Amino acid sequence: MLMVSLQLLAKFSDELESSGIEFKHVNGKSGKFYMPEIIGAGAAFFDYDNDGDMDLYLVQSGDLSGLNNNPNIPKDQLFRNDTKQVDKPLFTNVTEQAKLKSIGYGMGVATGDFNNDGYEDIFVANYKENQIFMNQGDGTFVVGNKALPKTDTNWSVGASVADYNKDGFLDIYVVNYVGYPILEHTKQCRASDSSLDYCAPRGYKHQSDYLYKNNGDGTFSNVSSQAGLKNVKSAGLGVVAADFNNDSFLDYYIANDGVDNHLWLNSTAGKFKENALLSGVAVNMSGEPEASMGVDAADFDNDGDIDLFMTHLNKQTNTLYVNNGKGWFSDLTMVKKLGSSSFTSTGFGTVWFDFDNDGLLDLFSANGSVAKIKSEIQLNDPYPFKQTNQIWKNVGDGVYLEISHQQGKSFLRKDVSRGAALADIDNDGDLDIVVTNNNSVPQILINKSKAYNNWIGVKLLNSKLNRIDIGAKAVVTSDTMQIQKRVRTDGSFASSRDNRLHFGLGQKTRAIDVKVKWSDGTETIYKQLELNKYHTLKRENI
Amino acid sequence: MKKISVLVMLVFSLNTFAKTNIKHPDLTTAKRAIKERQKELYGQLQAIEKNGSDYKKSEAFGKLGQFYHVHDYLEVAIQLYDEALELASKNSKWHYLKAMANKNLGKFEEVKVGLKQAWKHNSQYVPTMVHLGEIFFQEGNLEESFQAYQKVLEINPDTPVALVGIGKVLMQQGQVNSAIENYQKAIEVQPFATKINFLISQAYAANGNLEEAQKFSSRKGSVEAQVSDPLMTNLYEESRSVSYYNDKAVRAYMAKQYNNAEMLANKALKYDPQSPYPKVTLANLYLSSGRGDEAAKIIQGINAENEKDPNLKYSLGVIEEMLGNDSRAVYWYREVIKLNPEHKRASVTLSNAFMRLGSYDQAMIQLQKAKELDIENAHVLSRMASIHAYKNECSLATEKIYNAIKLQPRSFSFLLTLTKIAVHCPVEEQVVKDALNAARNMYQISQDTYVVETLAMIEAKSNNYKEAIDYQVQAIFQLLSIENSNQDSKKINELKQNLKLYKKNKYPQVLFKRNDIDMNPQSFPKLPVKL
Repeated sequence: MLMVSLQLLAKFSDELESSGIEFKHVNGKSGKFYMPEIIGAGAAFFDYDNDGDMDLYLVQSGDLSGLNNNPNIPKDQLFRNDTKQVDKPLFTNVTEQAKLKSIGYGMGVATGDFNNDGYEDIFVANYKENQIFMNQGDGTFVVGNKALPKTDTNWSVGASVADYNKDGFLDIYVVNYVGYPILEHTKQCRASDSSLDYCAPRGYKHQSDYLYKNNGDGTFSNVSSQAGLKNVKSAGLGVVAADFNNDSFLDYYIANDGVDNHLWLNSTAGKFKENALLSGVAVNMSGEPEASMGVDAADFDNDGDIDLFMTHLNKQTNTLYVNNGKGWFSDLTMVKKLGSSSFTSTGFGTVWFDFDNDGLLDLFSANGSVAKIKSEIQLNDPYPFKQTNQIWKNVGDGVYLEISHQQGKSFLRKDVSRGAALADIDNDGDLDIVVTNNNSVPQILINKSKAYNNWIGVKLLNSKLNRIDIGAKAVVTSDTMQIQKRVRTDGSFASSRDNRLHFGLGQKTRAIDVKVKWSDGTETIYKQLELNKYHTLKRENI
Repeated sequence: MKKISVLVMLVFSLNTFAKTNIKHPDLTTAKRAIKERQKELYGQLQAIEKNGSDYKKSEAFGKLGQFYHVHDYLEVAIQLYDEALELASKNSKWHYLKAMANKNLGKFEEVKVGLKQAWKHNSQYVPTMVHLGEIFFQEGNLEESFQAYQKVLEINPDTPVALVGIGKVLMQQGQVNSAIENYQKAIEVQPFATKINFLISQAYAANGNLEEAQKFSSRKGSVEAQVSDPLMTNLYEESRSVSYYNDKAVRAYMAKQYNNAEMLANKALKYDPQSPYPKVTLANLYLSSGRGDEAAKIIQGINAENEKDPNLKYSLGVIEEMLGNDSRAVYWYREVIKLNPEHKRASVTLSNAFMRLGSYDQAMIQLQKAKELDIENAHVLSRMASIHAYKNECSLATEKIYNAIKLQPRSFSFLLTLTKIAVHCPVEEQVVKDALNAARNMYQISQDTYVVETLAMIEAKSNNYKEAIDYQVQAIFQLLSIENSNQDSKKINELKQNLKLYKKNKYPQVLFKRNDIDMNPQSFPKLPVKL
């Protein structure tokens, strides 16, 4: 019986073909097996034209041998959301008219309104120099030439946009991977059939991350040193910001590849202290550091604190760290039934989302190997890294059940998936996902679950700051539970998500109150909001 | 060092496997050691399949399964374990190993079935229950995981891995104090399993006891509580074949670690005392360490079992040559040519041996044969040129050496021979000019004594006696500075004699000696410019 009802609840369909999105990620496959080629790139959902729907930015990588300004190398693309019909996503490529000209070998993307002008801007993490595109509010962007220090040329993969120092301006935490000068590429790694393969990060120099403090004038200062981050080097791939220890300051959690993860706890002075080991989130329950790729942070058990979910290499399980409310985490992967189902996949992008609006956060993982897969080699696949993606349903008590096999062909497709960006593309109240695939076309996974559960969506606009209030929280109470969410764009892998808050409300039918705690600590209660629609909740400029 | 190679070609086709429904992996691109082990195991399977007992057949299937298992061809390994189990369904070993292969494939249902079967037939093999405990734990079946670890403790209450496993289960159930108790017991038994400290630290932190947590938080080292698993150890041992150790022996030999190489080659022979490969390795290293007689004995032994293998006989020829037994060498090379008249290398080495024995006509016949087999071989032409020069057939010598140079214009060896012919023979002026240019070019690249000396000669032949004297003096000084044998002092005297000639505006009559004729062309540098 359970299986039948689940079949009715979950159904995703890849609508790329009719979506108007013509984009193929190019990793430059040089044949030399440069490590950046296998890491892949992400995607961002954001409403660049403030028309109420989520537009899509897709990061392109290109060719490592011609990193700068080669006109023949494909660039990042911006697609405007012109969807008119539910379940029928429609996008228009507006890259040229938006005057977006990316450079470099792209990896990740993060979005946020950096200059508080009411329009969301873009940060692109590249293999070398990163880029910022400032939204002019007229449908065009200009490159923030002086926005970032020119000397910062580490291999960046992803970023988190949040206001860590509460000065009203959005800062950027950039996660850097390893030191990998292409010209010094000599190390050769081999697959099971003795052919060349990509190497693991082991043996390459770890890098420290960048913390960019927003100066409020369109420029950023690298304050990694002052913040205490500079001397800690690692191989970071994922980053997410949240107040993990409930002290009202934003902390950062970094997913590192093959080494201990980091939890940077924020003290009031904007100084950070690395505390992952004693917080129980550095390594898994066996004390093993894992090859962490993607990460998401959310309150999956609706107990009011932020938990963590990480994706890992195959033969390691994904890991669920459950917060005890005070910033101490237990690895409850096994007891929540998330262990064995992830054993054979290499996960990257991951999102916690309530696909069936039952109020419980389900899970998605974009999978794809980083080393040649023997069975794929034996099938003579010229790109033998492909795996299927996975989805798990939260069946209550925070226990998960994998339901990928019930999703039909969109979850049977094997690819080298990397980024997973979440949004309600068609504004129909259920959440969709765009999956970026390395050296391939993306998947536009439209949620056609038809769960018949109710929902509410809120966009938290802080008029005082003149922007979406990243870091603000909203709490709703359904018939059975209290759900708290925070405004954010980070998490997953190299990707950026819909900044609206989406609450599944199950069978609740009456209008509800939404309590908002703005990022400056003030609270507003919005009474009797109608269900099954998006509301823009404004904090008045007091 | 001359390389001895033994090519014992075993005709082997994967398609001939008895069990045609098993698709064996194509290992053509795999390392030699792996391919050979596959052949060995398949050979054993074939031999037993016809008239072996069920037990032996089952072992043969299982062993081949183990081989594929180690090399990560898990599906095939599982098929072979199934074949083994069909013949010996109560053999817990194959159930266990099949479960381990399934574990690597992430097929946990099959793993559980396999482990339960393995336990049914051998309830004393602790790793079975340890793995079952882990699988249940990964699935979140904490009760069953707990019970599996308990069974281990019933056999041995001090098994650290089971104590840790139970600790982890208790942690997931929120029974932190009980978890700590189990961890503490484990670390008492295995004090170097430092990761248990980490687990204790995490448990204390979960209890809010940060002080204790800090105390145990050091995770220096990476020793984990482990259980001895002879079946898995043996699985890897199984994959180590003659070739595994022989390849190591060869590497040690190449690194001139002769003692280590000998130990490894002998270890390889323990796996298969009949295998020729480690014997050849031993022969090589005996030769290199001055134990030529022992080398010859080994190769003779192999040769006796492989009468039709020309390469073995060729190796014996090389060994005899190195031992200075040219007549014996001639015998072996002739044997090679009997078996394979197109054995080009044998013709060339036979001609060398004839030359050393003073049989120049015989040497020329062999070179002629070698030339017929490979008309473009510059080395053969050069050797022929030397013999012609020795016999004062100067125009033939000149023709042959020019032909050789046309094929390999940058060969030092050929250019030196040309120079010597130009000095030795009454040749045309152009030949002398070419030789002079060649010698000067060579001098720009190498000032080895033989180059300097040759340059002096051709300078003298070109009437440049002053230069000839300078170069000859240089050659003498060079040799004086390194003189360390009778041979060197003999050479110095020879150079001094020639110096006297240059001072008298004369040049020497170059004698083509056996050493000149037999010069190994590979040992000379290449000229960067053509003649």
